Amino acid sequence: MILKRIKYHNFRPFIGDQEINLEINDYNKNVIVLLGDNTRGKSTFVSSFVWCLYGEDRFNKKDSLLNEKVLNNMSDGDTESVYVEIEFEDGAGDEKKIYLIRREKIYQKGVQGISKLDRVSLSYEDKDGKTKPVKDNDIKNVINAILPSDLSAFIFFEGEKDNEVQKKDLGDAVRTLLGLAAFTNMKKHLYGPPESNKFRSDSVLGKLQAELANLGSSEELSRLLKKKETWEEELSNYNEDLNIHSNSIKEIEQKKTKLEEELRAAEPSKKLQIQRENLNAKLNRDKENHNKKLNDLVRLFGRKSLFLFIYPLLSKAQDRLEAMNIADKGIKGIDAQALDELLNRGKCLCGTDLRDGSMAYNEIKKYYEILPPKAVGTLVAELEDAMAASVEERNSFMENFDNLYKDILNLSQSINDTQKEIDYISDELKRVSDIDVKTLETYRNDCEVNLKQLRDKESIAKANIIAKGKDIEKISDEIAKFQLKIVKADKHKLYFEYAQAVYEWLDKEYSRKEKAILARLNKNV
Amino acid sequence: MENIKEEKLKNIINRIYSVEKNNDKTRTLSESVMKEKIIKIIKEEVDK
Repeated sequence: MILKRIKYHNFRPFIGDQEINLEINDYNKNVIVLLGDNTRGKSTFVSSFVWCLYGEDRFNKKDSLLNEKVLNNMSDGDTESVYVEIEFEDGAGDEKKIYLIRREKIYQKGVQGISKLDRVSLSYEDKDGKTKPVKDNDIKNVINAILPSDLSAFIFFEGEKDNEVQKKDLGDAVRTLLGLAAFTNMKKHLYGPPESNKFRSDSVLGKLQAELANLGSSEELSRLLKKKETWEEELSNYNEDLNIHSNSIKEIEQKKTKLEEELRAAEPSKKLQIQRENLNAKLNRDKENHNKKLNDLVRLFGRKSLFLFIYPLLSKAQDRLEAMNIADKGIKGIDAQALDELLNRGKCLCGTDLRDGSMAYNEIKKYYEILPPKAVGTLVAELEDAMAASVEERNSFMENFDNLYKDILNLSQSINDTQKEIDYISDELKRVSDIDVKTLETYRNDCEVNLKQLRDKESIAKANIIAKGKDIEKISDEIAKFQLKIVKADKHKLYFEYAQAVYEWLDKEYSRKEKAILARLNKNV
Repeated sequence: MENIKEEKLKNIINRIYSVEKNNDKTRTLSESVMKEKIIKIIKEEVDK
């Protein structure tokens, strides 16, 4: 720290603006001596640095910063200020900076007395000549980093006072003055709090380790390579499947083409074969029908042929009875016994009273003469009816028999004709080569089914090949990126190792040196 | 640690120290910026 100038404004004995230039141009003459009578401001000069830099009031009379005359001349409503401004240089080479600190106290006199307001500002000019302000909260730390307040009494030593330096722990102040605080901060930034068992995740070591973790490992690369190898094997299998399916498709297509040629060649016989199949079906139907009709005929004969055989006798009996004319007008189904019953009851079935001697009674009596047993005419009439019915049965039998027989004859004829036609077609087929078109068609259909299945499989294999190819392309890119990451990871590992080495050096070497320096300082100071 | 070169390590320590000391006297850089600056110094020196 090199003091360059100090400026006062209404500061204690210095009225108005006063400035002292402390800059040394000739370093062989680097001592400034201040001479003055008592109360002229020599002690104020020394203590003004302490007030300006640290805000500490070390004057015997406290709160006497504003010049007495100025203070006494203030009227109600007046505002006056006192300030000290110091320009100094610190650092060397690129780190050299010119600082300007100004500490000010503003006094305002009111009815109720004087109110005071403190202000402090610090700025520095960097190597490029740019002025940068220091934040208010950082001013104290920056000044302490340049000259710790605990050691200020060594520098701004006032011989007339007890400077109290021996009572303080000067460890931190000495460390700061020697620039050792920067090492402490280095350790803090690299590791985190020293009492932690492990470096913090937001420390330099933590951040570098996190970067390293994000870059992947060789194990991950091996896993990706293994995956790629498996996928390539799968791709090879899909290609093999595709070849097998494609070859099978070619073979079956050839077979199908051959079958289609054969089918085209067999086109004429195909029509004949269809005709023959239809005729065979008709033949079978006719034969079945023929057998059925024969059975019906046999059954009819068994049941009804009696009427045919008795017909000649019946015919003769009818002729004879007609010639005898013995059929009378009796009541069919009624005999003399039935008349007896009615007369005994005294009442006819129709409700007519049959009293002895009545007209109805006498009428009934007349029937004894034309009813059995006295008369046979009624029986003859009944017989004639029965014979007529038998004749009807015979006629019906004859008609049915005739129809069935005709059907049988027709069917027999049809069977013969159909068989002849079938024989003719078979001879024709022999002539044009009798190829089994149906079997060929079945084979051709089988080929088409197989082709469809194989083409589906071929499409699936092609889709699998495309998908797997893309997967392999993707994983290859990933592997390439990963390999780059591995190279990067090696470098990051080295960054981390250097950070660790810096920290270890600080932890071991710096601690050792710091202890030695502090031991020497404690001994000497 | 066999990869660590003493010269590089010395350069890194000196540069970090310089930045830390400078920031002590200006307080322009926050803690997180300081950490990033240290990481940058380490990477630059290792990459040299």
